[in-house]
Amino acid sequence: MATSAPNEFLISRIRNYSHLLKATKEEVEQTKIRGSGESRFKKLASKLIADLLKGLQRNIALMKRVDIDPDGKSALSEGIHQSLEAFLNWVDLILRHCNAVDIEMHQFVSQILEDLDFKDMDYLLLSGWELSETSLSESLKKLFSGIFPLASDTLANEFPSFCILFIPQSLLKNPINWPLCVHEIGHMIENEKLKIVESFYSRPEFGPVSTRITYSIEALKYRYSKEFQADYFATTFFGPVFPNQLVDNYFTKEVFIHPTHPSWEERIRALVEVLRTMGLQGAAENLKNKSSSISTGPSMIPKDSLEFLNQILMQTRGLLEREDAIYKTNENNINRSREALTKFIPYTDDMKSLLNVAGEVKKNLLENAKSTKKKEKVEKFFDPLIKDSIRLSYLKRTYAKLDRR
Amino acid sequence: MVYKKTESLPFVETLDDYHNQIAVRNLSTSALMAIDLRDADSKIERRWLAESLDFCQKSADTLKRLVEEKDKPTVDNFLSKIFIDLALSESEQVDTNRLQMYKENFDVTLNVLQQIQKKEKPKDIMKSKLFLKSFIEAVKATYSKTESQYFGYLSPK
Repeated sequence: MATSAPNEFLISRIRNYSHLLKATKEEVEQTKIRGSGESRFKKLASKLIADLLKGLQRNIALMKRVDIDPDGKSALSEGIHQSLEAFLNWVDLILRHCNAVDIEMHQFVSQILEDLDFKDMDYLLLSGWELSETSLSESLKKLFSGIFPLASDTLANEFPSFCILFIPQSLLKNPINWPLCVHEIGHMIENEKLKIVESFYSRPEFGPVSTRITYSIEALKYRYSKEFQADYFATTFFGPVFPNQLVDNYFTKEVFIHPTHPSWEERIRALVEVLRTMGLQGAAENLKNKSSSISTGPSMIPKDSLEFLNQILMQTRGLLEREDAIYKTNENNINRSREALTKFIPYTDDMKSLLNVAGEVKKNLLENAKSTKKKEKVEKFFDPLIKDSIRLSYLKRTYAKLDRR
Repeated sequence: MVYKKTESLPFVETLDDYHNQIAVRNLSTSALMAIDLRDADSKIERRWLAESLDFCQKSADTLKRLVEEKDKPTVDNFLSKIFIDLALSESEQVDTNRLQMYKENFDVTLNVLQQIQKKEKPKDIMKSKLFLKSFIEAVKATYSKTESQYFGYLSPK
């Protein structure tokens, strides 16, 4: 162990965090956070900071005791420093990145959660580096474990599953790709509400796996089942647009996919099957043809080894059926949506039909544009048209609900 | 399967690894505190002791399994992930002797904590304290290169 620093120095260093925490509390209170998670996040930050301030006082009292050896005090001081530095950076990240997500994306996610009757979920949408879902509660609980017991208890008892969806800018700017987020929303719903996968395979206490270490078969079964479940959820909820965008992403590599996810071949084969069971034969064939050139690597474990996968998917389907949220092709809505978008008019009746035709309409418009100037115009205005359609469809739904009351 | 060190990991895994190592360092520090404050009997000290017992028991069990798996240890919880990272040699092979050494020391520390719980006069206090201090330093060194990556991700652009 390194030579211990003088005790007074360590104590004064820790004391500084009291001011920082208080200033952060004020900053959180004064910042407008987009989305439905604002009040719960502010409550979480306020309660945690109150607990951390009490924890600091207690730890300072410990540092003054003579019966603790100096190396122990040094380790405690370093732990406090590391934990609080990481916590303050998390809050800073949230405050600065929450407003980089457009209001339309918030409304997109809200509509999906409303459809599933999960409006009360604790989540924030942040602009981030990779499309991913992470548990803020679990991350912070690890930071505070051992040395800030009150804060750990608050997380466990009052905010057990506050989660964050990180969405990269390239995806935020391209609403045709937004159905890819539904896979992450599937993870979020599973982690916070359904907990179907963990009723079959025990939940490992670590994040997504990489190829750098060998994982136990049980841990991989949990992770793989979750991936198949999220794919199933997204396709069953949103229809063919999800698998199509996923395959497009294989070629563009806009979204990072961990190498230990099930192989592309198995995922696509499963998605083709989902479309078939939904009665969408044409979409299934299209997906199969579109993905035929994808080269695949072997999975760490084969899909067949997931002995409970069918039960997991059936239970997930049960939720979607209960909420009448399974995608069904509505030719009338598809045609109206196609017609409106071709004329550059927002379509606001059915977000699922809208996003299922948006890619095809954009492609046709670009192909039919005779001049470069016209092509540029399509490129410039089509995405805002889709965003406007999502925003207006959200407003229409909200207004219709108010009207019914 | 090749074992690799923690540098240049994807975003979500970097966050996860960093939080895991802070948790392990803080839990080891708590165990140090629980040993130093063995004669006190307040609510806080009892909680520290309970958490430390749980941590050391879980660590000893995890290490026992990792040692039994010999040259191909697998990850099943966040502790096993850290122990494997700690035992990776320069050639990215898992050093089973090191895992065995950690196991023996966690057994000793667990024994010390159990004696404290039973209000007995604990033996091997110095050994367990020295181990916990060196273990904290080893965790710190193993993840030192990922710190800038973690804060790089968290610091707003």
